[in-house]
Amino acid sequence: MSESILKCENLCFSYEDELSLNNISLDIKRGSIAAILGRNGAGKSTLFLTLNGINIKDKGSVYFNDKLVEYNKKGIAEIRRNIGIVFQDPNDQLFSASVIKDVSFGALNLGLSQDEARKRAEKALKEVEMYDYMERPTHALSYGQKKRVAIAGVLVMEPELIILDEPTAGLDPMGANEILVLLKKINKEKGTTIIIATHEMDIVPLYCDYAYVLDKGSVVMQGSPEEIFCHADELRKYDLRLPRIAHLMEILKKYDNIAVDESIDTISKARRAIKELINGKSN
Amino acid sequence: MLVTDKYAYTSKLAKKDPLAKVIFTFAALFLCLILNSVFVSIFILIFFAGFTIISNPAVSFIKYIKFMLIPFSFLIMGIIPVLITFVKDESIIILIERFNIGITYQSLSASVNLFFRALSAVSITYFLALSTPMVSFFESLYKLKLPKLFISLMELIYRYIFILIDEAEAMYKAQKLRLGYRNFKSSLYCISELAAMLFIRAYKRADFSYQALLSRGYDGEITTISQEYEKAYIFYVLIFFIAGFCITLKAVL
Repeated sequence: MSESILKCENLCFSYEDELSLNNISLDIKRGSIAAILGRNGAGKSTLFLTLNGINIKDKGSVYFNDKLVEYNKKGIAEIRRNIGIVFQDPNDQLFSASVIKDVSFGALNLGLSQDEARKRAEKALKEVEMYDYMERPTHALSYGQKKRVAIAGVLVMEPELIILDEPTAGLDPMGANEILVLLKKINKEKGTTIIIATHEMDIVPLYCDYAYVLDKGSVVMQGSPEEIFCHADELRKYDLRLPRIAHLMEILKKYDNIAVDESIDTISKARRAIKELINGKSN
Repeated sequence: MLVTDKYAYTSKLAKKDPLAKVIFTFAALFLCLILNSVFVSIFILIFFAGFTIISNPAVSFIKYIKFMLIPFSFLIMGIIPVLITFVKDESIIILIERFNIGITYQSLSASVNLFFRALSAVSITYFLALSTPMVSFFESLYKLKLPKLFISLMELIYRYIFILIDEAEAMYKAQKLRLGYRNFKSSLYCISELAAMLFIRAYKRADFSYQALLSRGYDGEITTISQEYEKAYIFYVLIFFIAGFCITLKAVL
């Protein structure tokens, strides 16, 4: 499980003479869910577009499954097949007025037959629980439903790695949660590696195994969520914040002198710690 | 077009082979235009109005009349110049004596003919619009072997019209909230701003969409699976039936 699926070394890309990605090095483990954090304009989207060859990198190397990715026509086609990107706004991604047609697009681009593509598209729609909406016109779907269809449109290509740009943006709490549960399920059942770009900090300790913090086109922090949230001040420097629970723990420790573990970042961990504190006192 | 498309999905004929429907529609249009007879036009009008209302449970008689009223005003405007002409000899009524302008028997019959011909053509088009979702309509174009690029463009335009409308609506609301459109001058200014912004946004979105297509393996051609439809040979039979009936009608009357 710990072998790397995607590795970047010193990846650089400049956009109109402005350095947008500055020596990015990443190592994403197979089967993991990684988070890429950073304020707006930190270079998250640019990074993804550079990875799959839409932006042409200036220098640096990308390894997929320990194999150097050549950014020529064949290499780009292969990397795009292996890395699926779900864009932030599903309206940008869904180009067809028919749900099933849109989902089938990626499958047909893999060179599959019509029948095979239809089967795969139906399967992908079942996976995102949108099978019943197959015949509906795209514009009649809600935002959350469109997001699911967009995910299906990527799943249909059966990529080994899926990158999602702000998967929870614009969704209500319920919808956001459902999308994350869905991603976790895909990750577990199919072993698909997932990268989530977000600035929604509360989801990071719940769903992610590893996190990178991007700022001004460079990786400025990396580590497991606990490790990153131990450095609250550094995070704030990059306009990010702690998960609410971790913030609470920080305040309890700093101002109320309660001995809580600062690495606590989820509700369940906090619950356990509080129970221990209470029980410890009563004993 | 956007409203009728919503109703098209509720039609009982929505899942029938769109190509048959398209051929049926165009055959009827052709007949109606070429036979050029009031009685044929009236027959076609009644037939297609009835067919549409019966086949689509969501379209009631009243609803259908409302749909018909949309082109009605244009039709009236178009007919007035045909109806009112310079009178040379006989006339039904002279409207402006000094210029000899009025209605003649000839102009009356020409305008009645035009009126029903246009209305029946509209009813035929409505039949297609209210029974065939746009998605299926595109499918039939593929089967007609029209250039793929052309149809892909149509599909993309159709999809993005909705997004464009949404954005325009949101911008319009935002402008109104900040007291835009309060007088003529401000309206002109606001509408120009809206158009400019819409253009810029469309341009940006096109860029994003292109990137999204590329990352899903787009290589210059949009290929999607073709949908399966129920066979509908009945429409081909109907063509002969209607053609026969119309031609006899024309010959007899």
